[in-house]
Amino acid sequence: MASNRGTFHEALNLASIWKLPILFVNENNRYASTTPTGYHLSSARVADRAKGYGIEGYTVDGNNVVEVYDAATTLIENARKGKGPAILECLTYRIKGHYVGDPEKYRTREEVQAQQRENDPIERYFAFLAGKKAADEATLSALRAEAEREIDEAVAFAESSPLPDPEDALDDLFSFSPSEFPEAVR
Amino acid sequence: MRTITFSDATLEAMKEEMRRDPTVFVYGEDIVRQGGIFGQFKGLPEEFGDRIRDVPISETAIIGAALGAALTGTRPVADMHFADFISVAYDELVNQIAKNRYMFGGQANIPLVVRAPDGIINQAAAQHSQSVEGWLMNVPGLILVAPSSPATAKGLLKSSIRQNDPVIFFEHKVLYPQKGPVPEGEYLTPLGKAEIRRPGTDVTVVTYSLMVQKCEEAAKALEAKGISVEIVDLLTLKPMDTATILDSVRKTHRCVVVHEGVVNGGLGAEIAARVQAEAFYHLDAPVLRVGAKDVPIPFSPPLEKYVAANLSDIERAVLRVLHREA
Repeated sequence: MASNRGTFHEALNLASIWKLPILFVNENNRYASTTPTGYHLSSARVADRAKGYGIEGYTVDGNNVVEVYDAATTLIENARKGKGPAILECLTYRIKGHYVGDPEKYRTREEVQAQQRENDPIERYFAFLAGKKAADEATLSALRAEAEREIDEAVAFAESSPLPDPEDALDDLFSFSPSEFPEAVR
Repeated sequence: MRTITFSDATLEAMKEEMRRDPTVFVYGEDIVRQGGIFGQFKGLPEEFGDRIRDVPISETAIIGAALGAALTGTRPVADMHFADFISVAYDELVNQIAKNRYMFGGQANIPLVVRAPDGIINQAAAQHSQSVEGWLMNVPGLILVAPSSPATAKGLLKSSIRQNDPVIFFEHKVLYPQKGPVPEGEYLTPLGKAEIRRPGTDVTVVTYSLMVQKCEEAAKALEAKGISVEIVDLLTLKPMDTATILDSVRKTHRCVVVHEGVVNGGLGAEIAARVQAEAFYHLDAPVLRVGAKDVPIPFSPPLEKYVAANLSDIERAVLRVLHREA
């Protein structure tokens, strides 16, 4: 969520005055494209901005599954009870570049590698489950294998699907079909 | 037939559609407490409660929320106060609303209407006088509508609310207090269809919105000189009813396009291009355009008058395509 855009602020204000059941989830990955938060954010936290709109704002470790789950559960329940909107800022990290081919000159490889090594939310959650003895190694490996299989299947499906017919470029713009009203996509 | 104002005709359309479909709701600046600056929302709060809402001066949120509301199964009508303010929410309109259905493979319809009061009125100056359809003509995915009378305002607004696609509804501010015949009861005016406002044989004048009546005045004056003008009232600007324009031009062999907005890069350019591409050998003269000069609409009355197209500009253009002196 681009929290420095006016859209964010207008939405918070409107949601607050109408007490709308909305949870604004801010995925703070520390970079606005290439510019670090320290430079572009006027408040210490995005969640601090909630105060200006008379709503609650919380910041959690966004790579801690349990912390995100607990905070989101509470705030969603509040919204459903009519307590209005809230901001949930999840501190995380963008491992990949902002776009494919991003030279990533705005950060060091070491920074990225350290995050990858120490802050992977899945690995951290697995460690948490193992530590709590909530799941044994076999269950965790099975879960991992199942997720990897699902991804592999999706990739295989995408790669084996035929490319669309060029004329499909005219479909789906409007609720009516281009043949009904060719003038609309001439 | 009874006569009612343009403003009341839009109000009837709103009431009928809100009674017919409980998912229709309307929101905008100054519309509940004030009833709209032209009285076009009077009485809606009494009948429909919070289905009509005032909003903060937050055009981005107004237009952005319309997309969310439409995607989740309601039919929002967002009032822009002044069409000029669309610029504040341009990203929401152009990059989100216009593209959402297409980018997500047609998974959901986007039935929403943006009501956009436009045009020159009472020295409202550069930021409250524009005709902004030209900004949006170049954006795929939007339907642009511009009624010219109380009757077309009612029928087109009802059709726009029922349309499962985003519609920008341009309402010329000068038209609001004007009265005209409006049929009793329910009727729909189809989108995408132009109407021949006045049949004629010598010159086709393609126009829309307030300029239709200016062209009618010009046509009457020209009739005295023995010139028969056919007026095509577009009603829907996009998708445009090109067939009706071409049929008329093939008959008259001459075409003038008249709009209030800036000539440069305006609708007239698109219409002229279509006419020359598809009816070139029917033309006896170049297609001419009449509209505003390429400057902001000034506040000063004599300057405003100078910049806007007037009756004699229309008459002169018609005479020119007939190769006659003004």
